[in-house]
Amino acid sequence: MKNILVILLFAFSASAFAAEKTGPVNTVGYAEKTPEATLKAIQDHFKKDFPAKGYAEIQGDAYVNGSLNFNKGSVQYSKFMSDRMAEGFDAPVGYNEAIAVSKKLWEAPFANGKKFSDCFANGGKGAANQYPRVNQTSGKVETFEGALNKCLVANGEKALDFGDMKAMGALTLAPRKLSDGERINIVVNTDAEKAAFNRGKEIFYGRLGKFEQTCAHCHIQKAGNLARTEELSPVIGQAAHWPVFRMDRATDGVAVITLQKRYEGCQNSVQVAKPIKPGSDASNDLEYFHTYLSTGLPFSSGIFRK
Amino acid sequence: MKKIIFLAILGALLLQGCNTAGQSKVAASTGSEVGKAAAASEAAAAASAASARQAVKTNYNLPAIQMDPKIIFSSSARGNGNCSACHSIPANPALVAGDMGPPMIGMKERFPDIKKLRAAIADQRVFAPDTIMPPFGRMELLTPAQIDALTTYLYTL
Repeated sequence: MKNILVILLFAFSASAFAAEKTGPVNTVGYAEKTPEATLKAIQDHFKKDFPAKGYAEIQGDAYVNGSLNFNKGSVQYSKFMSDRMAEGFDAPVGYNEAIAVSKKLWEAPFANGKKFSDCFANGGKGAANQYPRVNQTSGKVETFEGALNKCLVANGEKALDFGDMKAMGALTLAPRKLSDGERINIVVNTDAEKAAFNRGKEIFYGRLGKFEQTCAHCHIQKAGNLARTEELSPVIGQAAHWPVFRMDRATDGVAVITLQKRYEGCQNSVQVAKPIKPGSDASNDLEYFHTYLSTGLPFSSGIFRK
Repeated sequence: MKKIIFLAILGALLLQGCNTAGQSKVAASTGSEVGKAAAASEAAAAASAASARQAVKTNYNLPAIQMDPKIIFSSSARGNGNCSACHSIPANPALVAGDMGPPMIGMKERFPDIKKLRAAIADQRVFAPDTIMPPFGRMELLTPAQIDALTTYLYTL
């Protein structure tokens, strides 16, 4: 009997011996020492790589359109869904609901009579584009979602769960819209900013999960390639359009999702046992690095993406 | 003693699982048309009950390990390779596949030693340190037997 137990124990613990081999992937941009050089290397790579893969070169603001640059069908579908969202009466399930929640959360006064817009200059106009930024004293990255929660707590309200898309996700729709059209402008100057950039970069180029894949694999090395039926979007432009409405299979409609929630989705795809969570320091660092790569592109929140 | 109790419970459970299967025999033995119809409907009911029980049972079982290499290659369900997310098979143009990895063609020429093909599926990082390909063997995403089946199949392409 004991022998059987030992054998069983050994069989079950065998999977524990299969340890992940982490570490960075030395693909385009990793070896570059400065933020400017990193971005330049990636831009230069895409300039050559997309024509080599049979696509037109992506110019300027078109980067915000991500994988739509590679597929006319995706453009048509995206337009169809965007039109339905804009018209309202034929909006996909989930769209009007999210907009209503956002309006209510953003505009309703707190118990003390103050509102979200009192926490930001100009009633919140352009506020989202002030983030992510580095707190020079703590060295930590602050995000817009973090600022929204700070505002709640400062006014005696309960902070929202960063991963709750029905509350935090929907809330971000209204205030982020107030920055639409503004150009992302992240300048990495101070030591604290450089350190945050490098921490985010290590996560972006670092192998994750049982699949041992990296963000850089899919969104630099294989950007424009097909993952079964979908073209992979290039990293440049990705951080400019959050939150997005994505297709929701459960309702056959759309669901709102923030950038950091999307990080969690990516990690689930590559079977990460303990994904970095929305609102965590690691997620914030990744957002900082990621957003830097979209510097100069226009803020375009609340759009539709498959 | 414990062993005996364990076996007795197991035996009882097994018997319980079988005891409805013989019921329709009684009706079939009546011989009349009505009896036959009743027997048929009972047999159908027994069959559907059996299949329902089977469905319930499978929920408690460990998922069966897929051994059909074509399904291992194309399925994205857990326990399969989802190889076609990245690799196409030119010999099978109906297969919806990605293009992140090379197409599966001329495998014998590309891998004169079949062992190297197997090793690449098990852990391609040994041959290309910066590869995107998951280490199916080392990280136990597939079982050794599944990798063997896949290797044999791919070698025919």
